Amino acid sequence: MTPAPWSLDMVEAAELIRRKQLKPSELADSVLDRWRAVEPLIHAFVSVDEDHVRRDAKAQDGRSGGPLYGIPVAIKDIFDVAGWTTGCGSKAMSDAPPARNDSAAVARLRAAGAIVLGKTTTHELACGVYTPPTRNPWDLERSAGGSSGGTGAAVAARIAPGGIGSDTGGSIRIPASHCGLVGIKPTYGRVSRAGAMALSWSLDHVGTLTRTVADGALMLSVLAGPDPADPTTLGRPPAPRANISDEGLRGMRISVLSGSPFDRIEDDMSAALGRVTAHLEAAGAEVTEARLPELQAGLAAEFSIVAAEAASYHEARMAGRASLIGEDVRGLLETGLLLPAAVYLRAQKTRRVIQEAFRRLFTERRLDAVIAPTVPAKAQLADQLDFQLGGQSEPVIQALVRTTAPFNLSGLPTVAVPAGIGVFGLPTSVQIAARPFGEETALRVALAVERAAGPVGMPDLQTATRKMKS
Amino acid sequence: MNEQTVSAWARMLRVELPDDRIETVTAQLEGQIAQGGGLLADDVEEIEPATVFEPEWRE
Repeated sequence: MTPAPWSLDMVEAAELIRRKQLKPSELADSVLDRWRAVEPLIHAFVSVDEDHVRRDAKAQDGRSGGPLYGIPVAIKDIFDVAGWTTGCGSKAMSDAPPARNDSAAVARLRAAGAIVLGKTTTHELACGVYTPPTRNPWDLERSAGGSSGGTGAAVAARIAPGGIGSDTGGSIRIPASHCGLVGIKPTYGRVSRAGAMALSWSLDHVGTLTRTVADGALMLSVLAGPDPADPTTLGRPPAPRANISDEGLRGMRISVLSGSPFDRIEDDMSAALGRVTAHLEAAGAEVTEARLPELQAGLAAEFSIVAAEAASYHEARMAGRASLIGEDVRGLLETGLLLPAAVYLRAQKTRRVIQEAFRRLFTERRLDAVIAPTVPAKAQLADQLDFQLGGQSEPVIQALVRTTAPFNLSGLPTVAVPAGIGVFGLPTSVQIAARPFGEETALRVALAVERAAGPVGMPDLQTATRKMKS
Repeated sequence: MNEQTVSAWARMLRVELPDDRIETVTAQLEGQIAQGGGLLADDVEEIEPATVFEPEWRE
């Protein structure tokens, strides 16, 4: 039986369109049908303009174009899309005028032939790990993670084959882990942030959420590149290729990061990391263990930098509209406005120490990549505030960010990839980081993990619905 | 640090902080300052913070 177009991965759909075996309008119609059927369960989208999607797709029928020709993509609602309001998940921004221009990331996707399917939910101001009201397609009582939870839920539920998000302290990799997806946080400076709402200028990364490593590589190859509107992207090495090397891992040197902050993790995550490590060795990699004690200071540095920079970015908004911002985010912004500059600068010094610790590790051991659990725990319940980890209670946001933030602070390219389904029926995940601008290396390792671990499959929304009702 | 200090600090910086927010913000600010941005000052004495100014003009 021919699979429904909405169920196709991005590379599969793009290939069928290229061969004229699938029309962009057929794919769009199928995806919109899927959206209508599934959206009431997962609440992943802020807005979908069906007429626009159909019209754009119809206009592409019978023609050919870039590598994402005819592919519908989900856009986190912090990226400007011309003619649409950028709401950023906040009542404080709900009356913003429609954007005049596309953000750089959206413009690049469109130039490659992609069709904007819609804007997806974000945790308010891209600052949190829950993304209400969005629910996790694997279990509707659970969060899809955040802050790019809408894109994560939409891609996992097969509404869109891929989408974009932002990652300041794990906001792509956390939804990737919770939803069983591949999440790419590229090197800082690899993808332009122009036209996207900032959370923290020095930590924000634009990246992708897809179902496969190949899809992520394809999207990244389109998104990456210099943009005068974002000077951090200028003078960088060439963009990574869409085709990931399939040469296996023989001769590669990889360290598994252990100790704090990667300790105190659930058994499922620990078992997944163990399986992946065995796979990497079987694939020919030389695997060692490494500890970086400097990373223990990462969470404090991350929160200080985010608080100060986010408060500065939203300072004018806070002066008149603070009461419209939710309690958790408002507290962070208010704190950031009062934080002494010396604390912020100490955090930026700590960041240098962490960056140097990674450089030393990679250099002294001649490493190609490091690997770690993406997050310590499975997706939290939508109203769960704490995890019990290693016999201790730990706030959910602290637990999820402590393992992801080191790679924002260091700016290293990092790929979260599914590592199988755990005993609770929920996805597990590991993250692979490579040297600066070494996305192709990280993706090569991720591809090996993906092949060894096997696909996590499609969440069964009927089961997820039953779980919620019971 | 106490609520009076934070309230006065906010006034000096012209940060609008309603009375019903002071308790929460005091607790959060106290936590942030206690964490000190990560490492101890002695451990980062010779380190240049990760802030860069580019003298080139943007076109």
